[in-house]
Amino acid sequence: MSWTRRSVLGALGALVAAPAVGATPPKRLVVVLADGGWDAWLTLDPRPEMVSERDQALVDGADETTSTYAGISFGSNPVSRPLTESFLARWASRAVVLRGVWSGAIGHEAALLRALTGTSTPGAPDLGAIVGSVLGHRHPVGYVDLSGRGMPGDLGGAMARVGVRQQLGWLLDPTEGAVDRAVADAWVRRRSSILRDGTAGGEAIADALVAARDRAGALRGAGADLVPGAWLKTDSTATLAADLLARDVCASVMLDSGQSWDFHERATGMNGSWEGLSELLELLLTALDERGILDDTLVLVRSEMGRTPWRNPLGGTDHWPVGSALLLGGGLDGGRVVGATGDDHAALPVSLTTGLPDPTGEVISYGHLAAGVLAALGVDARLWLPDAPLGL
Amino acid sequence: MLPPLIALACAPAPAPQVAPDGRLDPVAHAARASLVLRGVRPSAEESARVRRDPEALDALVAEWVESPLFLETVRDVHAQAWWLRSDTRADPPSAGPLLLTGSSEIEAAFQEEPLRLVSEIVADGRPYTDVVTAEHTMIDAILAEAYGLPFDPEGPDWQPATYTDGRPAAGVLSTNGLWLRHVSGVANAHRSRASWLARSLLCDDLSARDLPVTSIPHEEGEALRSDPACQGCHQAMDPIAAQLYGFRFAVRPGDMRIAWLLDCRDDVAHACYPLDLYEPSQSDGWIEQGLPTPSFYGLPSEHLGSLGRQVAADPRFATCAVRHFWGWFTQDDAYGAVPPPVVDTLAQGFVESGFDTKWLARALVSSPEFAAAPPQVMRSEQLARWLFDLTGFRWTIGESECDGVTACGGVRDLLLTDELGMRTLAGGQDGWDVVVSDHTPTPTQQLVLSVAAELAAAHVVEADLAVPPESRRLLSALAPDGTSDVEARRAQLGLLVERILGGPDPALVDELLPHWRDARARHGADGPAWEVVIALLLQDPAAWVY
Repeated sequence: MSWTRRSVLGALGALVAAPAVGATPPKRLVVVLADGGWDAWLTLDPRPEMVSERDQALVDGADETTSTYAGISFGSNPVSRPLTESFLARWASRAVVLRGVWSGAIGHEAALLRALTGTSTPGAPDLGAIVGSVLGHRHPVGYVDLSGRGMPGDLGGAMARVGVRQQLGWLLDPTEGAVDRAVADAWVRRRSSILRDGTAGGEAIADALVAARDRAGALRGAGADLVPGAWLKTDSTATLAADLLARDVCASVMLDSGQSWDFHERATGMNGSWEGLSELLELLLTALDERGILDDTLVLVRSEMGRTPWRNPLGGTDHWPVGSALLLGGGLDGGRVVGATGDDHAALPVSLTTGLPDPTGEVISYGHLAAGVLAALGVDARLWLPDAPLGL
Repeated sequence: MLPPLIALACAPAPAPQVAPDGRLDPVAHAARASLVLRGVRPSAEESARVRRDPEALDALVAEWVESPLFLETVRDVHAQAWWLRSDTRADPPSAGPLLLTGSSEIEAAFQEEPLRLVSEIVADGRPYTDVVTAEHTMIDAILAEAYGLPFDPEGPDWQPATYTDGRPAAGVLSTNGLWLRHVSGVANAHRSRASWLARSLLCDDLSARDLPVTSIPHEEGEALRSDPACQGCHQAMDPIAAQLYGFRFAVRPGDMRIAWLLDCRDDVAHACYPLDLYEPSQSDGWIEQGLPTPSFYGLPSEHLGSLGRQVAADPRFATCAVRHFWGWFTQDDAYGAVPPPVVDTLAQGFVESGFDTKWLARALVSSPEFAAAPPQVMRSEQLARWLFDLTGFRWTIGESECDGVTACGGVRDLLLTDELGMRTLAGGQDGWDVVVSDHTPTPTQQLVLSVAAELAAAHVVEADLAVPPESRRLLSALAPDGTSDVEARRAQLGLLVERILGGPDPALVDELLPHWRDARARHGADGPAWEVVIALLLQDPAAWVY
């Protein structure tokens, strides 16, 4: 079968994020970033024998094995990663695991750009910004970045940053001094007309200003449960994200896992990072479920790349151009795996119809994944990712 | 007779800002040039000069590049391009000789070191190539203690100093500050630093290239030498990395804190003040690591000193410097994109000028492309400087004095920092997580502007009404007791428009008067009424879009 660009973008979205029968497409997105390059061989793309041999001095004598939940095989070590085990057991039926996703680069910044935006173009907007812009245009803001790593590109008008110590809370303080903010907002809106003077770009910046000012006012009115000055703790970001989405303050949120992943030395920490991430995801999914929005909120959990299947002389692992990703919630037809890696830990081409290995298929790229997420949310991936790479 | 400024305020409304060919008129061009060069708008007198004689702009630009404010901009440009001034990670400790110094101030001093070296080179009129060849660095009193270098307490805040630990001289490439921020690891073997050098000094972003493979052979070292997919980057990166041996891979704030907790015992003493970041005995460490022989893109190079000279001689060095300035001046700073043709033209002129940075700045703001660039939104650095210039207001938080007992961050400027500050919320970069600026108005940028304007307005009204009219920044047309009759009030509003927006606009005065009256009625006093109109003007698009 020959794939046209259009059919590939659409097909992967349908395959990866197929909704359960009768479900409507999700209308919210949460991106959870494991910033640093995670080791998915421990969990999402299990290689228990390889990991046991590689990390035998690192696992406290506990055996690496596999556990199967909802038909998905996961790497398992109930001693070293008990929270991960229980998280996967509970949520696998609502999860789609993607394996063998080509990262396109193995430098952190370059790989992160690809992972978050689906392109290699500096300045491109990330998925949260795109979804926030399209699906959140009636919300006070489209996209709230709780991770500090948001890349809005030219969609900055749709995004609100919170700040590492929640300093957005100071800006949303409703206490007024001498200035009536409604008056100031009206002043700025009206005076924006001076920018419409024929200068190239003048109209665009005036439009952007009016929209940003309106959204600033709406955000002030909506408020957010922030504690300015306090560090944004990982566990509190889960409930904060769920609240922001449930109150329709925004349509997309990005969270950071709050864990270190880049273990070039002493890779023992990787178990703890999976535990911390699992704890965060448990809180997040529970919070979304309790607010009744889990089925229409797609949660994408990913890292910018994977890690080597071998340990380096320092007991760490280095960067690897293939990784895994996890999709949760969103009314997905869960309990599925899409894509695969081979015996040499390289990505295998897969059929974009079945998700199974197929020598005539495509290696799933960062572009595929981003396009699939957009398509699953009903956002036209062809419009937003015209240059997305479609595999190797 | 009315003072000259009031006379100006009563002049006819300004001409349209845009010429038929889409370029700015001379007054608007002057405002844009002043803001990008100095971070402040032209004074009323300067605007008046250009209004009278458009040719005066060249002379003004020549004056502006000689001002200390231009040197601040030079530092801003390089902080953005080189990913410095990041403050969202842990601070180094206030300890030992720096026990009474705020931890954020120590961190800021570290990262300011290479920036100060650049601005000192520019201030002295030395060629920009000195950035990577200078034999000295710049330190302040904090760095003197942190690095153990001599410092004259009676001298200027920042003074030249020379490392005495045997490191080769290579300008910023020899500074502690650069490598405290841009760290490496044993396994990484200085490659991340080499990648930084290629990206930041040559605009050759090695790590941005697609890696067209989905696996790497286990024998990684061999793969880096033989696999075409790896060679593309590593052939350039590794021989540069080899020349950075001698610098410790990473001395992070956490390492420093642990070192102090361990009483700076021998194995961690290098992480206590004075820091010991360079070990000459390790300069051949690349051999043991298996890196290729030092070189620079295939050209011979022996060590850090010759590396700096090779960088300076590379044609990409001049072009990359121009791209950094162009990006800052026009907000067209997508470094991965193909730069506009004017960059090559300017780079050629830059080299022919003897790498004269002031020439480059003058040529850039005088170019038709600069005048025709789309409207720009003030960066947080410009907003901070402009508000201070107008109102004397700095938005700060923290302790000005530390007691050596309780944790003390020191004073932070909220528009220039991110741990507690608003820089990224205002569209700026934090030099770590956010490395691309927003150049369009955003909701949080408007919130920052709104609050900063209110605070600055309150500050200047309180400060001005406490001093005689002749000592005031903005409210000089009011009576000594702060009151005003109708005529003085109108004159004062005219002055505010002139001063804040950069030109007279009697119609705008008419629009402001009802706001002044409403606020006066609402609050029952003149002071809050002046706060309101000043806050409105500080948020006016004519003020911060240029």
